[in-house]
Amino acid sequence: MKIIYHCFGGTHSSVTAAAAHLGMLPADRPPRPADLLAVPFFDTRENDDHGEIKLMGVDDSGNEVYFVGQRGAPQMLENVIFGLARHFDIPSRDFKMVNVMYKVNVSMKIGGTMSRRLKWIAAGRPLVTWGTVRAYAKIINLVRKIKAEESPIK
Amino acid sequence: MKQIIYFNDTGFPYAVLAAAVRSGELPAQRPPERDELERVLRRCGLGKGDATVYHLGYGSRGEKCLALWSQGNGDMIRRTVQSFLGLFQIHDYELVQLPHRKTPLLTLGVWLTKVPGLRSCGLGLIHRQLKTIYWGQT
Repeated sequence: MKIIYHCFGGTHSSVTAAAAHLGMLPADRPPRPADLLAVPFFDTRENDDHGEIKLMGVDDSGNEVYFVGQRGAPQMLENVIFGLARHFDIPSRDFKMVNVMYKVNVSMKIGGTMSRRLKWIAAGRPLVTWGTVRAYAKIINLVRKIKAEESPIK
Repeated sequence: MKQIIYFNDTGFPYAVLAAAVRSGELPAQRPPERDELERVLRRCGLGKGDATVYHLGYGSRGEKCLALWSQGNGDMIRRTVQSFLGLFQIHDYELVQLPHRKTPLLTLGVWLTKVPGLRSCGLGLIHRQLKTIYWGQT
């Protein structure tokens, strides 16, 4: 199974969800800002990376975990992916799309825009990191649900 | 079997027309008649495009002719198609991006097709506009 987390820019909430899924971030408490900043791809992806489905790692159950940015057009991304899957005979059980965008808070939106779009990294990065810490409980709940669905029953 | 994916991000279903030409649903040697054009466009609609993938039939060598279109975000769609198919080790396809813009008269034609009683007029305008750019499609 390939699990694809997606959000607006593919660099904050989806990266955080993918990292949490893989155990790179704590499951029982919010991460420290330094933990988030140490996650690969966090607040580093650019506009030219949107749409590129990137591998973050493989989880304990053998699921490949990916993330991607969709510029606030989740329906468009899903139309392309499900359409291609249908016409190229890729079974829908082989992949799962997970929209993390609706877990994002205002601090993440403002900080993310400042850091990625306006390149005010010195101001935007701390704000988006703080916002991600605040939104982490919602993100980790989503990740737990996905992991429960995709882990083999023991 | 190789698959051809036509796409454009200019808000008009040029990709659908190109795929239909490739599959023989629309003529390749002459501009389409109005009813031929209408038959193809009716199947996929005249919206700005939500990147839904349509199957327009098979080409002369058995290749599947697919089409999708959107308004903007063409670079993102290209990367999504390439990376998603790459995840499944699918390389036997060709992605063809059409550069044609949506002209003001085409925009007007599409708008008229949505006005009750003016659909025929709108289709006529679209047909006339497409005749002038038809030859460069495939």
